[in-house]
Amino acid sequence: MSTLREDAQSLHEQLVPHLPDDCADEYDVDALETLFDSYVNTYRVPRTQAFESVRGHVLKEAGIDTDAFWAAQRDGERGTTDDPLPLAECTTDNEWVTIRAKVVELWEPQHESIHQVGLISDESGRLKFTAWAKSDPPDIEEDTTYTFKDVVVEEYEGSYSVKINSRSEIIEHAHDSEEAVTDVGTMTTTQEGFFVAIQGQSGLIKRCSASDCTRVVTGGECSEHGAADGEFDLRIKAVIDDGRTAQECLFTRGVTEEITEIDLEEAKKMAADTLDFTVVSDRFTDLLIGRRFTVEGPLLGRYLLVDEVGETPERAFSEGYQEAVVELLAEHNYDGPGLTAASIEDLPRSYDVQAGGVGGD
Amino acid sequence: MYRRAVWEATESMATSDSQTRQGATVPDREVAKHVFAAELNEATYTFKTSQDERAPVYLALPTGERANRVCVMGTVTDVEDVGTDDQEYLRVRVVDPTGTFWVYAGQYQHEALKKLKKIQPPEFLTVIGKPRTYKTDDGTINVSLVPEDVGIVDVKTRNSWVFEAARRTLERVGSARETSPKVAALAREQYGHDGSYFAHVAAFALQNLLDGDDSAANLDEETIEERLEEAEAKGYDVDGKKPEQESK
Ligand SMILES: [Zn+2]
Repeated sequence: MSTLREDAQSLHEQLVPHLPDDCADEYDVDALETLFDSYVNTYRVPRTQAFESVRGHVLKEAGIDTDAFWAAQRDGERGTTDDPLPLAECTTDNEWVTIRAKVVELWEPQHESIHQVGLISDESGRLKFTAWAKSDPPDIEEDTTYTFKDVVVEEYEGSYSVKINSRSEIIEHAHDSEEAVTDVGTMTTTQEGFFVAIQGQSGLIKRCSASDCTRVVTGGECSEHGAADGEFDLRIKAVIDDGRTAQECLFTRGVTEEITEIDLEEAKKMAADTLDFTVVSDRFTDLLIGRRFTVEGPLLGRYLLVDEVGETPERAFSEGYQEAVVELLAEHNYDGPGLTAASIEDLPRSYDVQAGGVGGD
Repeated sequence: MYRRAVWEATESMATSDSQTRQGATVPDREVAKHVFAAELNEATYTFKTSQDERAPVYLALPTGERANRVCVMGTVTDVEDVGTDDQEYLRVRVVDPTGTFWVYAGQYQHEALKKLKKIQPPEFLTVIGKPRTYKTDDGTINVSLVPEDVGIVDVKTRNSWVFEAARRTLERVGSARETSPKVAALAREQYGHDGSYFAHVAAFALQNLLDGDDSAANLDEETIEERLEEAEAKGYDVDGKKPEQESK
């Protein structure tokens, strides 16, 4: 996230052409920074709300012509209704943009101040969007493409989202229109972490064999085509977790065979031997759970669609642990009694983290 | 090829997720914390961050972070059915380099139960699960785990886990005070120490890892048994009885 100083500078840039001459000095960068500081640090305005709050304050106090001001801001924004900005390029905090994207998923708002929240996606990637109730936005629907005119990019801890505000305009596009987004999220994402869950309908599955239907057949039925025998396939739906975030991943047959070293024929044989499909997903769980991998692929809705996977090399310890352990201990400046104690009960009950190395009390 | 994959992915979201869809669909899954048995067993204080009945329950880890879910690993030394005649309830004893922890699985942990039943101790087990605290008859609070996903793993996976758990423990000791100051303060108040002790525990586990390095790949069962006896003797030998009053 930007610093208060940077916020003050970008606000100053926006304001300068509109400030009446007699108060130009009153709102120089230093003054604006002081204002930001008081909003954020004294009046506890959330950091994400500070820019708008301070801007609103100055617009009012300085008597700026707001129509002219907003018109100018929009002229400076990237993307137009004819040529919207790709989502992948929405990477400037507080920037006003016009984008075109399909609503991939709507989530349940966790707070009444939020009207709608979810994921939107175009060919280049996906972004979270938030429509605040106070700006009285129109309802948008899943699977529909919209042009979002005059929305604001927000950055929070390195990830971007867009905010629909009261000045935003939302234009719906018909499913068969030229504007409708068809391919979503071809931009790839990389996630490293430990497999912490292998979800249901992983392993050996059957897919409906009706043409153009790939739905999973459960209990001998396709939800669209009714009773169906189906064709065998392999897949894994899993959660990979790096200790800070959890990401759901989907492995189609190719990458499933690669990571488990079990191919479809072998899986079918396993199931036939035991007359039980779940033997395959159980085996996959044993193979993957608790192991560290890096996966890469496009994001689709909640899922990362894996097209490349590898066990994270430095954690595979093919050369043994010595080097990694020495490095880890050095990183934490540890050379204490934990390394020599014969029993865990001999360890001192505290450790001076700052001093490092000394240990004991 | 790519299009086909996309199609399949989209399809899978349309069908199989319809079951999970009724609930909150915000993908705010709680992450799993790598924790050694020694620390888990001391993490007896739980809290919530909201009044909501469904709000997640967190353990305050003595090293100063919260944990709603953990990723632990160790050697299963005993599996016992402590349920009633018509209701299975498995108690599984798992030993890592720093101590012993207990996993309980009943009818609601169907998948895990099925797998745990097949275990022939000793075997290495990964458990992703939710910690629960419960009061014993004498008033002490014990921590146990309700498993979500379990895997019977090899020694290599077990060793990598020991390394990772040590790394994360050292990280928590070094930085939780800055990165999660509230929980760190809470833990310090509840447990009466700052958790820095677990830096020694992490180092102890790493030492154990190095000791076994050369032979780790082909440890025979006899050696494993010997090691286990040592570890059990050192570890917290709590009397793992069936939780009577599980916290939510
Ligand atoms: Zn079908």
